[in-house]
Amino acid sequence: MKKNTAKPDAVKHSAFKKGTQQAIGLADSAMGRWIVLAVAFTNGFVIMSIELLGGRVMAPYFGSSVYVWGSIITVFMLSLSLGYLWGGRLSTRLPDVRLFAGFFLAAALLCLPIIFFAEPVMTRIFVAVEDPRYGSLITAGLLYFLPICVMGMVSPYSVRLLVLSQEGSGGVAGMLYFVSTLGSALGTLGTSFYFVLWFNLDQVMWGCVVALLCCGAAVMWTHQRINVVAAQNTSERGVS
Amino acid sequence: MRGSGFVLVLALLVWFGLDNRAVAQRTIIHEERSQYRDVVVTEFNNQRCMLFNVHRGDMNQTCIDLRDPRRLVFNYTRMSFAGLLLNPEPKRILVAGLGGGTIPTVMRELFPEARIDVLEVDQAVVTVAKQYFDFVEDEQLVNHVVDARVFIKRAGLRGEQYDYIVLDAFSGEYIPEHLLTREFLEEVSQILTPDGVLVANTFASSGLYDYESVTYQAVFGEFFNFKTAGSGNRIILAKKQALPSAAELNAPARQLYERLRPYGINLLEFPAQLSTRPDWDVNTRILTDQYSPANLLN
Repeated sequence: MKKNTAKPDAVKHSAFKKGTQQAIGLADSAMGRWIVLAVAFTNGFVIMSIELLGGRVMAPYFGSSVYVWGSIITVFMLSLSLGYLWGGRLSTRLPDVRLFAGFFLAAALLCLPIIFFAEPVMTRIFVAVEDPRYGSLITAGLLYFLPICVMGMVSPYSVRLLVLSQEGSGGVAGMLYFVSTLGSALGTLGTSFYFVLWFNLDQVMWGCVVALLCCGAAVMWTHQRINVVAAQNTSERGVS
Repeated sequence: MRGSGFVLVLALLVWFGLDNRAVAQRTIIHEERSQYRDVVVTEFNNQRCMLFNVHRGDMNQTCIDLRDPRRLVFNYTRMSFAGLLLNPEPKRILVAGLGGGTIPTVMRELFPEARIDVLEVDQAVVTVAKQYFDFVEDEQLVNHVVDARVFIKRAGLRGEQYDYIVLDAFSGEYIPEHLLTREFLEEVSQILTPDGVLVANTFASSGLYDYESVTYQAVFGEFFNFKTAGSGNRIILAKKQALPSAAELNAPARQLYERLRPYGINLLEFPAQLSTRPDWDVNTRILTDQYSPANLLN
């Protein structure tokens, strides 16, 4: 009984439900919107932090020549481009806050091989491939493609989570580009100026893993909290 | 607003003007485009020099005296031949960092039987060294365009060994951080024969001095520290075996003195200037592949 009366009420409150789009949980609360922006920022930060560390991870095996950086940047751009494509498709087919949180968990786990298996992977490639251009390209692909691809999926998916209307979509996308690219800028600066001076490479990598896990946890926590508040509101309304 | 913009423009003009004036004293005779930083050849006062980063002050990479091409212009280049005190008859020589090719060319003349490998990451430097600094490759002296770390790691895998290794791969402004770490020096040690010598050109006065010192100490134990007054460079002479006493070096110094004199190298002065006493902070953190922010520490 209560459920039936509550549903049209909720639809009235959130204007975007009148259109074809479906609210999927975070956009209709200020806290939810802030969390999406915060994790997009962190995601951008971590991507560039890992990219800069990549040069140092690979230098002992392939040198610090210009083509090592070429390999790293190529792989990162390719991973991000495919991540954007697939993340965008997923956001249309499976819009779900839990999947969004899952991206961060997956990215964190996919970063672990960089910490644990970079050396044996690079040793094998170093022996098998004489040309350090292709050696570094293959290594960068093996170590970084999956985690960075998943991190690339975050961006279009966050747009989907925040867009309420067609008119507002450009503004939302612009805001997300702004925070995630600002995060990338600060990740680049922080890593190259300070983190490598204060920490070991692996410690910075662990910091990235923890940051990604925190993002996932924050998204899940917010999602649940919003659901609880919504349920309370619904039941209150139902009572009155 | 407009006034401050004018002042800014004026300041920039003055700045660029001064910058150009510093360069204009020298005649630029060649500029070679490079993947890394353009290589410039200048002539001034009968010296021909190879420079990187011309626009950020004159960083002379290497110079030759046009009136007396055999005489070595730089103090640190002369100092690097102190390695011969520890191994007077090298047979397999590795030089990381070509510059104008001064060190390998002199070694080629001194030891015609020795096989010499040179490592230079920048093809433009090789081209300029050949065209303007009389660097000549032959069957005994071969240059490899490769990152030193990559070549040395591969040489270690192949089980190759050298009895005289010179590390001189530092180009003034930017320091290749992966060539300063403990792991790299371990790889160098692996391709060094038991009685071989490592000669490393390092920084004498920068913030890196302590870091480099403890890292070399960690891999090679006690080493000879070679500094001379007025030189910004410090030469490290390291061996895998125990070092001889400085007094034992006088005999090879006398033996080689005449052969090195044409290059302006006074080998007899060197033994007294070698020291094994640490004059650095021994509690400094060792540089590793995990931690080598050399450009930030410099």
